[in-house]
Amino acid sequence: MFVHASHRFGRKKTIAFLVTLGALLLTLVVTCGGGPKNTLPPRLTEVKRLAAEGSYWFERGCFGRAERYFYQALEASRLVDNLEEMVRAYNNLGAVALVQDHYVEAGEHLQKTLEFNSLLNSPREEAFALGNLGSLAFKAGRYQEAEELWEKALVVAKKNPQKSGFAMHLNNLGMLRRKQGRLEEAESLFKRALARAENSGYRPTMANSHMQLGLVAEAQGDFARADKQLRRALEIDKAAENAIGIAQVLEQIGRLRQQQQLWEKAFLDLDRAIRLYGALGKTEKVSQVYELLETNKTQGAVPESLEPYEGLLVPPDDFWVSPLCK
Amino acid sequence: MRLQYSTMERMTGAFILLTLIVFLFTVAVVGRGKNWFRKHVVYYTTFEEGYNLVSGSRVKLLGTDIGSVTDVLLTKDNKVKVRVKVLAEYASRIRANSVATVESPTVIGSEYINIRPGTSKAAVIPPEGLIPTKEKKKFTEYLEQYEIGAKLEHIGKILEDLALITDQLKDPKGPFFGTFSNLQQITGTVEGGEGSLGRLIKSDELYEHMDTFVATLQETADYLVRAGVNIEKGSEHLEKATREAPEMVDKTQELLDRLLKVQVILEKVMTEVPEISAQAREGMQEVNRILDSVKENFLIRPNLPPPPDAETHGLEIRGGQN
Repeated sequence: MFVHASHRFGRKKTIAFLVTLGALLLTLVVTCGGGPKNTLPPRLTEVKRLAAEGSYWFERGCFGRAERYFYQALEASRLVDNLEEMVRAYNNLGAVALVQDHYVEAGEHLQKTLEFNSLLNSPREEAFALGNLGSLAFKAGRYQEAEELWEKALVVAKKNPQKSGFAMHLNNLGMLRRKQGRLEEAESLFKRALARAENSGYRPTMANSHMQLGLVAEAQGDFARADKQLRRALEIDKAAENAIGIAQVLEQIGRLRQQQQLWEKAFLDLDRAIRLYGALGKTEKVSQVYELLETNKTQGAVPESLEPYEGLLVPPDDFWVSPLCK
Repeated sequence: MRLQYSTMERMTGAFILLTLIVFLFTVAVVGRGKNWFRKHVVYYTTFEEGYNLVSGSRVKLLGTDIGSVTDVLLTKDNKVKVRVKVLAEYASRIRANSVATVESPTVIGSEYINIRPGTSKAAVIPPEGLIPTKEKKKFTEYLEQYEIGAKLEHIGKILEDLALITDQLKDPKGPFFGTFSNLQQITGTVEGGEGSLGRLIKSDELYEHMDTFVATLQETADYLVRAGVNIEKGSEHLEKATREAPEMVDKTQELLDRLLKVQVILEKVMTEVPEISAQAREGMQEVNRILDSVKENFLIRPNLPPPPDAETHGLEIRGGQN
């Protein structure tokens, strides 16, 4: 005979069972619903969001925009007195000032990074600050100081190999060795950097390692190997949409073609490089590639005229924004 | 005989009675809201057009609901006769010099009749009487009243004039650029130290090597001749520009006057903008407050996605072969 559930268990028991089931379901939804959990308080979440927004624009070469976000992240981190985010913001502000050739400002930010990091003791932030100070010294022509700082950065980064820019410092040091003509030493550093960058998956550093290996091969006179490495670098930079990296590799491929006296091919690469530098507002780089095009015109009769590039030589005004950053 | 009701019959009766009471109560509540039980007075109005009026359209006195349209009819002389009923308590305000107009809502809603009350000296319109009307203005009439067409034409003319002036200014062969290019050529020659004047200014050799002086003098003379030609051309252009200048000044003045007028209109409009933006800002702040409180909710907060990873950046110097 069919007996209703409420008769079998009793009404009270049924209600209790249903309530328990409902509570369980609710708990399940609350705990398992959505993706990974955010346990951070709202203001700190906002600080991290601002810093991440800055990183996004920094990686795309939009430094003015990145700088604004890093400043906001710094101010917001001060409001919650979060030392870790404050140090990160100073470090990033230093990097962004450096890339825009604002050396005094960069030095100030990086010194602040080290000051605050003495309270935090983060080897990661210290390694980045030292690495950036090394880059600052290099840009100012103080190569000995740059070498010392990059070596120091490598020692500190070893303490915390995860995301501490180890491969980047190796690349920087390798670049210095290459410029000094110590090609074998440089090659070994680039290979180590490449292995490390491939592990971490940070593509701009991988691309740089390949580009540097290409330049070493070129200096050794092995043009075929140089071409292969430069092409790989271009591929990776394109995949990462690293606009400035793409322009730099194209310029180097153009130079290699000129060395091989392949004027037509050199022109095609240099043309793309100069236009990309122009779109990024890098007037200094534009004039360097313009000189290469002049050589190309004289030696190889391509391009026929340099007139289309003359407009790119005019420095942009203060209100200019790269079309890639709009 | 005494009737005997079963429990089921009693319950059915009670249910029907209850339904009836609920129905009557609903009718009473709705009727009260809709003024079904209040005394009304009927009037008529006549319009040239129907203006989308329908039975049920509202009738207002000074913007307050006082009744509704009960019927819309077409008369033999092709006019629209509208029957309206108005609450009796307001009937005394509808007088011989009252005016009924059809008005449209600003954004949403339907057309309604708005009655402007008459003066106390005027006679009260009796029930079933005709309320004087005023026709609703058409869009074209508004355009005529505010002379919008003429104003738009005016602005169009201003833009045309502006385009003409910019064209004249931009024209490389025009009076301005022509003169400028000639002057530039002359100053360029001097600045570059190429011309005689340039050499005189820039070179000390003229004092030290007198033997080359004569040759340089000859060259200088040549350049002077060329520069003279350029100056002559320049002065011609300047003369032309001077001839055209008064006309240009007049045009510019006229243009400025028009622009000032446009600016006055714009300023008037712009006074409303801060208020609108303030309201929008307040709205956004309210939304932010709500979002903040939602985020703080114990059921929602743990389920919010984590913030994106913030990274520290370093500068990698690529430094090429150069």
